[in-house]
Amino acid sequence: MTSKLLHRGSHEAQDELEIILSQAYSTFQAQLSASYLSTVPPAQRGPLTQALLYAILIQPQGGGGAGASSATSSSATSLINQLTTITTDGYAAFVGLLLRLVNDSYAKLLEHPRGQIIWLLKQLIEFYATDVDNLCLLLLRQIMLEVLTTKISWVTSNHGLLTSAVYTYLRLLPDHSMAKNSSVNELRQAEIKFCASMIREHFQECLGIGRDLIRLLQDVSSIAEFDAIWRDLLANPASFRVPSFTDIGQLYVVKTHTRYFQSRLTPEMEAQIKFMLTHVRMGSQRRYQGWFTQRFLSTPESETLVCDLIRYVCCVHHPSNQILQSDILPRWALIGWLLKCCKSNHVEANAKLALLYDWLFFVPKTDNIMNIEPGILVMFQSIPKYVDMTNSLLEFLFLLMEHYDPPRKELLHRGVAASVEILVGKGVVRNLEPLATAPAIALPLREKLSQL
Amino acid sequence: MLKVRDLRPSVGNNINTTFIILEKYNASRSDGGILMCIALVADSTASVHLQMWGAECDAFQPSDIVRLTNGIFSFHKANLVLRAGKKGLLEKIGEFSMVFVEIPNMSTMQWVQDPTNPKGWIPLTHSSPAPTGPMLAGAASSNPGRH
Repeated sequence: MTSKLLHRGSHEAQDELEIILSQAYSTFQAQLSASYLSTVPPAQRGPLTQALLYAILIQPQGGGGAGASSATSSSATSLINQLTTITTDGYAAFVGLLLRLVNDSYAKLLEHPRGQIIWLLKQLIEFYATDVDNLCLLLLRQIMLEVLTTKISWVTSNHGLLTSAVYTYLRLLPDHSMAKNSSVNELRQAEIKFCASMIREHFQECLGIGRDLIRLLQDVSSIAEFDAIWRDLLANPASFRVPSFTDIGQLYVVKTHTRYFQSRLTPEMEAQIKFMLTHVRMGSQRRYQGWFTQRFLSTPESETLVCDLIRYVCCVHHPSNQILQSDILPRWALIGWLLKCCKSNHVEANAKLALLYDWLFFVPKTDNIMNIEPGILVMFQSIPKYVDMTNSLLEFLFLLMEHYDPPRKELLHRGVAASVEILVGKGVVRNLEPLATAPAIALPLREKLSQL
Repeated sequence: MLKVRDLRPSVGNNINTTFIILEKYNASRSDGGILMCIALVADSTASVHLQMWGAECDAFQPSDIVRLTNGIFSFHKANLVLRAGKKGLLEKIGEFSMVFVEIPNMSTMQWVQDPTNPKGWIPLTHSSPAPTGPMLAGAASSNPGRH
């Protein structure tokens, strides 16, 4: 039997979900062409929902035949109206079926059902259907992945697109694994495969991403494909077939371009952050922070955005001298707030890493003091009222220096020393005295400071 | 475009001003059964209480930037409020990106009668002469309840 939903190879078994849907459709086909469904016993609701989904997906555009009265019309619109009359769960079951179909079989969907799915999405959004946002996100990911994989030669010749795609996927993959909807496995595997192959086969281009590539790769190191990449990066750099690449340390000193950090923020987030750092006076930021949190940081999944925001504020937004000398909200104050937004330990650690990352590898010739300025100022300005923050950041800094990359400890020590030297040298802080002498800061930390 | 600081109580409906909504207080029903709520709104010069009616109550949220055309700034049951009134219009024109101050609050401050103009009121500031004529108690005692 020819499939009306999915491409099917000559020796391929029919898809399980498609069987369920089409069988339900055959059972209820006659009832569906009636203009209303008589009271549906609860036992029938499930199969009827499946039948309606199948019917809508195969429904030709333009609805029922010419002259069909509303009593017999089975246009997609009247079908969805019928769905509405039998739905008692906010369309949860219906969306669940769609999620499964899009997740498992998007790549195989025929042209027409694909179009119907987009139409359905819009209807479901109007209905405020349960889980419709997950469906939207899933579709976005599927479409993006499909475009990238089917036009792969175009992607790989467009280096900017390739590196942006790799950066984006690496950044999103940890979030996706935290998502409660674990049925995204197939899609995730395809994304992992795409990303890993781009890194291995186009390593030269990916090197251009710079040091934040390392930071992102660490967050996915528990995934088998990336674990393998890690081991090769550390022990077998030649496997990437880029003659000039002999050690991971070479990647540390490459600054990541600001466009990557910018890509993680929506235009609206960027506008609001910029506004706060350009027009809002220190002391007046409370309401703006509340609105921003409500809008962008109110769900558990959105917590990881804090790390992207910190990288953006440190590396992309560099205030003018005029602003620096005014009473406008300084970056360190905004970052202090962002650090406090972290609820889980994991995100908090990543956020601190995001703040201090450029410290570790600072190269005076190529790095910008404005990237490291917020870090030292958060530490200084948190004394004495929020000295816990200072302690926490100092402790984390020393931990990083020893344990982030033990074989390359020297490199990291030099980076931090260079950071401190330039911060004092250019007068961002006069010296480290306030940190080294504050009694509220733990003694071991103060001792380590004096060695810097 | 009038600044919030320059609002003066008056029966005229000629107030054109732009502000950002800071907070909305709980809605209540008026005697006629119409939904009514108060919001704290502000621009770069001052804040004031905005009174919203009916559909306006749900249409605007904190952080909305709103333009009022042909509005009124006058008393409604002992509360000095800004509102659209029958001939005025509230329109959302943006979000978030507007600087504001919360002090002074034109609705809760004290007003004195203008000695040069029997129908006029001027805000009582520290530098104002001691009042000799009628004085509005302002809405200091009628802070809209935050439930």
